[in-house]
Amino acid sequence: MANRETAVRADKPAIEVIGATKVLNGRKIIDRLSFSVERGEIYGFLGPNGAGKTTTIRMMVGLIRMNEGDIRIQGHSIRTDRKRALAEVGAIVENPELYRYLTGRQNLQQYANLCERPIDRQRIDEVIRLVRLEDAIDRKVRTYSLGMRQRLGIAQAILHRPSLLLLDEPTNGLDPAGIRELRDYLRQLAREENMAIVVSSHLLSEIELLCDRVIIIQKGRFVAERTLKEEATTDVLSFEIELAESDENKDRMAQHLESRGFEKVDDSGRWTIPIRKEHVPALIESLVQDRVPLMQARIRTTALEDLFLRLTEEGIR
Amino acid sequence: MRRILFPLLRNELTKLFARPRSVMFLVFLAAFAVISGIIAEKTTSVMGAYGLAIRTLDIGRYFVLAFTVVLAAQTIADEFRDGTIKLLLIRPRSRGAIMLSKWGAVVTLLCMSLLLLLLASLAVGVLLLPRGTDGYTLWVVIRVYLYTLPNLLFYVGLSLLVGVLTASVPLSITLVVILNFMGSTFTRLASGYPWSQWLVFRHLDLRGHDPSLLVRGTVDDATVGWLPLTESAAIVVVYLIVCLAVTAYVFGRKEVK
Ligand SMILES: Nc1ncnc2c1ncn2[C@@H]1O[C@H](COP(=O)(O)OP(=O)(O)O)[C@@H](O)[C@H]1O
Ligand SMILES: [Mg+2]
Repeated sequence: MANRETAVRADKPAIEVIGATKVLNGRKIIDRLSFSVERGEIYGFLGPNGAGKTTTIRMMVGLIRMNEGDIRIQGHSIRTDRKRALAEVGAIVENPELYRYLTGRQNLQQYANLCERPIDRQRIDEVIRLVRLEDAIDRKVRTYSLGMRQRLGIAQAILHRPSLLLLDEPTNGLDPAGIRELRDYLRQLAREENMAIVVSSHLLSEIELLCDRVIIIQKGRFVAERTLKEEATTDVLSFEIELAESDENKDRMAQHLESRGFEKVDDSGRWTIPIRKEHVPALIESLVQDRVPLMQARIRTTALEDLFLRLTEEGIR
Repeated sequence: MRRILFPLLRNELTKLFARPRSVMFLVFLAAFAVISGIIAEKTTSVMGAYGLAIRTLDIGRYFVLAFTVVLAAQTIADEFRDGTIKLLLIRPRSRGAIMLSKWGAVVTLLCMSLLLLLLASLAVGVLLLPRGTDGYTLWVVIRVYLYTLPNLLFYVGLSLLVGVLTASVPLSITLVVILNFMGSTFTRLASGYPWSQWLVFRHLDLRGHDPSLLVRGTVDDATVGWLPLTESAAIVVVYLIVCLAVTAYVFGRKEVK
């Protein structure tokens, strides 16, 4: 009986956010946000600074209550079934929370003692190896670099083999090599331990290579959700060309390009057109045949990146 | 129960003793017992080891009170300051159990402090004051030490509550000092009224209940209620439980931003 209740429900998404709403000081910080993530999937949670990513993650782990809606982890509501929901979650909210005056191993032991199911020494050694902290694990955390703390934080968060791993801006403070390393073992975790991983970030570029899917939020509201898998070639790209313009060909070229659906970027001879990736070669060929004086041509951004950059710039303003 | 509280208590004790302050305090207490013994040897001729143990406690209890009250508030304030409170709260443990384990850890240190004070002063007494004629017995000493417990346990609980409400160590210690001081004055003034027996302050020093004058010392009748010892102790326990329950409730409702 108890076993069946505590068992992970395989048919449920790892996490379901259902119309979650948070009001603070009369302002809706999160407004009817919904999404769900399956096990084995890496999900990017994107939004400019102040969009409400951390607030959402705090609600997911029950640090703050929501005003409306629900969040279910493996089918267990964080509102009504907190303990069972939390047993399935490992999380880093904003920073890895570590006792600086304890050693790395003591920190892991603290975490292990806070878990429901007992965690043995082998498991602790296993995660230490996974995040490559063997050499530093018996040193006080005070002496760790930011990257090492980040890794110890992840070791903690996965210690109890959660079905959901929540990481709030884990790339903050990491150098490109660190980000690549993070990417490698998050992929490994999603694959080998069949975890759902939610990674928040305010920079698409830092997590787009990592995620299978991303959601973009702005001012606490849903904006877009996209699949980023390689096979998703149907995505519309923004294709940019730059012409060697001269006074005599300028008007003729403008007319010609406009008739083909190009849009002028500015007065420096640059034009863009939204196009599917697989149509790019044909377009270049026809431009050459039409003797358009090309200086350069490139795929500028994906539509997602466009959307995100636009949002982020709005956010800054 | 044991499966839940024991690992939490072990965590709290690890944190308590990982920093040097707890050990330093115990060393300080031992040194205090030695100094008391040396002073007694120079100034009195009747005091023996048992008398020394009681004399040491008269002052030592305030050291223990101050240290444990600060420590209790600090265990909470530190978690909030370092952000590690999040770590405690995103695990499937009840917040009540977390509070209880914090109280338990400080109480463990408190008992260690009293035991150390007792053993150190007895040892010093046996060495320096072997010919005491003060009439104290070991059983009297043990009773005196036990009677100080309700006071300490209650104030540690109160300090946790203030710690959770304000996350401020200075506020906790200030409140406890004021209550400790005002509480006994107030009960003395109110002692004529029957309702005053329900005040916890009347029951925090249980020495007054003991038939032996050696145990009662200077505790006067006015501060002692007319309830028997067991009921007096029960009142303290009820106050303590209410205090811990309120702490756990407030802590459980707290949003961590
Ligand atoms: N404690 C708080 N009180 C009031 N407003 C807050 C608080 N914390 C966050 N906010 C507001 O909530 C919004 C979302 O913040 P946050 O979730 O931290 O965004 P993100 O993590 O996406 O950068 C911001 O506009 C911020 O100003
Ligand atoms: Mg944030």
